[in-house]
Amino acid sequence: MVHVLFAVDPAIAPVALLASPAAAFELTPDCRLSVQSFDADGQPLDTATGDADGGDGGTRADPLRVEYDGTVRYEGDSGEQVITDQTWGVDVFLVPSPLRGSGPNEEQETTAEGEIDVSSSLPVRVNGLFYVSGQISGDGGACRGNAWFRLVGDPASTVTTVPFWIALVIIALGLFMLWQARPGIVAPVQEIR
Amino acid sequence: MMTVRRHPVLGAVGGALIGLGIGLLFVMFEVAPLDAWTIVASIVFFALIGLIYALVLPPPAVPRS
Repeated sequence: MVHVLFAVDPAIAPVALLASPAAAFELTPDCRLSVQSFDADGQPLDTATGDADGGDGGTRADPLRVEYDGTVRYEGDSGEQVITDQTWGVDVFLVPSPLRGSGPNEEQETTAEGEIDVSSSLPVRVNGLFYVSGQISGDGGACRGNAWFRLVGDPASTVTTVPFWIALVIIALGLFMLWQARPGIVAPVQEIR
Repeated sequence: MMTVRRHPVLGAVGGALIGLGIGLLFVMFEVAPLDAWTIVASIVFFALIGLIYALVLPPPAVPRS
C-alpha cells in the first residue's frame, strides 16, 4: 500500500523554517495528493491538492486549515510509479515526526487513501501555521512534497496546553534573571591593620 | 569609594528569555504567524531591553551613616 501522508506536529525548528519554500503545494512529477480536513463534528473544513504543477491550496498564504479534534482524509496517487519496498515519512519544519513507516507493497498499488486523527498525531496542542513535508521512496520511484497547514482552534483553549505553561515558566525565569541583573553597590575592600 | 556593579549579560539573557516566552505566546494565540522571525525578533527586542535595563538602571541609594 502506498502511504503518502501529510499531517501536523508541534515540533518547531525556526532555523529550518528559514529554508522552507512557501509558494505552492508542489509534489514531484507523476505524484498527486488530495487532502480534506474535517472539524470535530465531522463537517468539512478545508481542502488542498498537491501535484507537480503546484496544486491548489496548502500554501503559506492559503494553508489547509485543520482542527485539533478533527481529522484529515487523504488520497494519494503515485501515477505510473509502482513503489515497492517503500519507506515513508512526514516531517514538520524539516524535523521528523512520528508519522513514518515502511512496507513491501506486494499488491503493487499506486494509490492509497486513509484518515488521520489530528490529535493522535500531536503530542501537544499548539495553534498556528505549520510547514509539513513528506516523502515516500523505494524500488520503482519516489514522491516528495510539502505544504502548509494551519491548526485552528479557540485561543482560550490554548491556556490548558503544556506549551502555554512552558512559555509562562520561561517568562518567569527571564523576570527572575532581570531582577538579579539590577545594579548593585560594591563596597571597597578595606585594608585591615 | 563605592563602585556600581552591573550585570549586562544577565540582563540580556533574562530579556531574551522573556522575549522567547512572549514570542511563543504570540504564536499560540495567533497574534503573529509561526515564523522564525517572529521568535527571533521577539528575542532580540527583549534582549536589548534587558541589556539597557541592566546598563542604565540607577543603582540603589547608599545609606549614609
